Amino acid sequence: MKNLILVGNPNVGKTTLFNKITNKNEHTGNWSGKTVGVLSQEFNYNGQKINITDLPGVYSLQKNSVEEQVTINYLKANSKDNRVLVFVDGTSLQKGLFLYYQVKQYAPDCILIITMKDILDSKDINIDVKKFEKLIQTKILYLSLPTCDKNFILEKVYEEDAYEKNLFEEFNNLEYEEKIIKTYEKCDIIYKQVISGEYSMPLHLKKLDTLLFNRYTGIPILIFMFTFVLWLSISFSNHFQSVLYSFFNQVILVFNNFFQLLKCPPIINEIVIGGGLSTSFFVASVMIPPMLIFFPLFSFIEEVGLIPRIAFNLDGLFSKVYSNGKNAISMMLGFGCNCVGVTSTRIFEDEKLRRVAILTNNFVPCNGRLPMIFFLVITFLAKSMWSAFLIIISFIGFNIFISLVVSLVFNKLYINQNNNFLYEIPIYKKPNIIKILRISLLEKACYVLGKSITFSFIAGLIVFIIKNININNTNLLILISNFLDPLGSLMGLSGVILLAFIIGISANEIVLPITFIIYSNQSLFLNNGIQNTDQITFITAICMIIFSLNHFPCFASLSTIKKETNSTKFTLLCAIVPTFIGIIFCIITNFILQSLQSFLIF
Amino acid sequence: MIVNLKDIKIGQSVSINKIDIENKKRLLELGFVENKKIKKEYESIDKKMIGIKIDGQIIGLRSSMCENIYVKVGD
Repeated sequence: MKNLILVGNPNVGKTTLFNKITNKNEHTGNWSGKTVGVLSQEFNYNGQKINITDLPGVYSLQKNSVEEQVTINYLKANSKDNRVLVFVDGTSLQKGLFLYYQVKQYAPDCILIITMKDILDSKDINIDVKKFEKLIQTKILYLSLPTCDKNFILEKVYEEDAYEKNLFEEFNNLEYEEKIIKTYEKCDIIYKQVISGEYSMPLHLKKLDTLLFNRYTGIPILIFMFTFVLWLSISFSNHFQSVLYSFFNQVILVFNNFFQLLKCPPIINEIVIGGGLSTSFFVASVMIPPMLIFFPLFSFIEEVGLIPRIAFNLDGLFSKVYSNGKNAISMMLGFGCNCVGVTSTRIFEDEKLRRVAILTNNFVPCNGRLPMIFFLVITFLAKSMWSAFLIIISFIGFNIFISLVVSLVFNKLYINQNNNFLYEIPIYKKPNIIKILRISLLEKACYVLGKSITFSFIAGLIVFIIKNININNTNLLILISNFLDPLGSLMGLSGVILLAFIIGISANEIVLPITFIIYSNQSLFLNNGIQNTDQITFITAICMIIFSLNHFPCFASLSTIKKETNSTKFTLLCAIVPTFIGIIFCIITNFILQSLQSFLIF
Repeated sequence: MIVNLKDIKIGQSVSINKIDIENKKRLLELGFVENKKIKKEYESIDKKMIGIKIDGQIIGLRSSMCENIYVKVGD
C-alpha cells in the first residue's frame, strides 16, 4: 500500500490536512507541539488504498526531544519509497525550506506544501511558485488549507511532474554545523528570488502582544483570563447543576415507573436505578455544566495562539523551580485531562525535566476532579457564588503552589542547573467559532462524558450489588470501610470516603456518587439522597477537596505515565508523592479545623 | 558595532555576529547563523524571555542565552 507522509515545522497545518483527507478530528491548535505521536489512517483515492501519516512537527532532523525522535525514526525508515509532503509556513519560508532540504536527504520523492496563502495574500505578498519549483526542482502547492478542497489537493499531489526524484547530497561532505550554515545560505538565496515582501504582524495584533508582554498589564491579563474561565464555569455550574439534578430526578422517576409497570423484581429495580443509573446521572449533572464552559474557552485560547504567549510569560516563574515555560503548557492541558498533560510533556528536550513535569501534572485538577470540587464547595462550603469562586480559586492556587514546590525539590535533586529554553511564538489566527464549538462540545465533551457515564454506571452497579451482599452477617463494604476508618478519620474523612477514593482510581468523577451510594440507603435521586447525607460536614468537605487535589492519579493517567516513561518505579512514585502530600495536608487541616471548632464551641 | 543581543532595544534590527554557546546546534537549526538579520520584538513580563524575529518567525529565547549571542548594530 502507498504511504503519504506529512512532515514539517510545528504548527504549519499538517494535522489540518490529515483531518481533511481522512475526515477525522485529530487535535489541532495554534501552538507547536500538539501532535506528539504518529497519526496514521487509510483512505481511498481513485480506487486505491493509501495510508496517510502525520508526523510531529520538527525544525530539523536531529534529535532534540521525544517528539522529534519519533519523526526522525519514522522518516528514516519509511521515506525512501514513499511520497513525502513537506509543509512550509509561507510567513516563515526560509525555516521551512531548511527543513525541506534536511528531509530531501532521506526522501527523494518530496512535494513542498506552502501554507498560509490567505495571510500572505492579505498583505499583498506574492510567491513566484513556477520560479520556486525550478530553483528547487520540486513540485510546489501554495494554498490556504482551511478553505482548500481535499480533492483538489489530492489531485495535485498525485499528478505526474517532470522533476527528478533525487536525494539532496550537496553538503554531505561537511560537518553538521557547517552543513546547517551552508544550507541556510542556499535557502536565503532562493528565498530572495521567489518572494515579493516580508510578512509582519498587523498593528492591532502587535498592540495586543505589547499589552500581554507589558509588566503592568500582562500579569492582570493573565490573572483575568484564568479567573474568567473559572468564574464562568463556577457560576454556570451553580445555576445549571440543580436544573440538571431536577431533570435527572424526573428521568429516574420515569424509569422507576417503567420498571414497576414491567413488574421487575424490586432487587433489579434497586440495582439498576439505585446503583448504575443514579451514579451515572449524578456524574452527568455535576460534569456537564463546567465542561460546557471550560472546553470551548480552552479551545478558543488554543486556537487563537495564546498558549505559547502564556508559556513565554511564565518561563521566568518556572525557571525559579529549575523548569521552563513548557511546563506551563503541560499544566494548562492538565486542567482538561491529566493524560493529555502527561503526553504533552514530550515537547521537553530534557528527559529529567520531562519526568518532573509528569510527576507534578497530577497536582492540576482535571475535568474529572474539578466538577467534584465545584459541587463540594457550592453544596457544603459557600453561601454565595462569589464566595464559592474565591474558595475554589484559593484551593487551585494553593495546589499550583504545591506543584511548583514539588518541581523545585525534584529538579533541585536531579537537575540543579538552569537550562536553556527556546519556544516558537506563532502568529495570531482568527478563531473559527463553529469549529471550536463542534470540537470542544460535540467531540471532546461528549467523549469525556460518555466515558465517565459508562465508568460510573458500571462502578455504581458493582458497588450497589456489593453493598447489598452480606456474608456471615458482615457486609464487605462495611468491613473495608471499617478497616480504612482510623486513617480516614485522622484525615478528616472517613473509611467510606477513602474507599470511594480507592474505587475512584478507575475514574475520578465517580468518587462523590460512590461516597453517597455507600452512605445513603436510598437512591441518590429518589428521596433527595444527597441532602440527607449528613455524614459530610464542613470539615469533611474541605478535607475531601484537599485529598481530591492531592492523591494518586486515575488508572488512565497511571497507564499513560507508564507508557510514556516505561518505568514502573516512576509510575509508582507519581502515585505515592501526591498521595503522601494529600494525607499530610488532610491530617494537618483536620487537626487545625477540629481545634478551632472546639475552641469556638467552647 | 558589536553588542550583546540582550542589550538591544525592542524593535531594533541587527545581524548576528557570533554565537558563543557551547551547544549551539539548536540555535543554528532555528536559523541563528552568522550575518542573518534579526529583530528584537518582545520581552516577557519579567524580562526573562526575549522574542526574536528571525526568518519571519518569532522565537522566544531565555535572556541568559542572549548574553552569549553577539550582534552587529548598523551596517
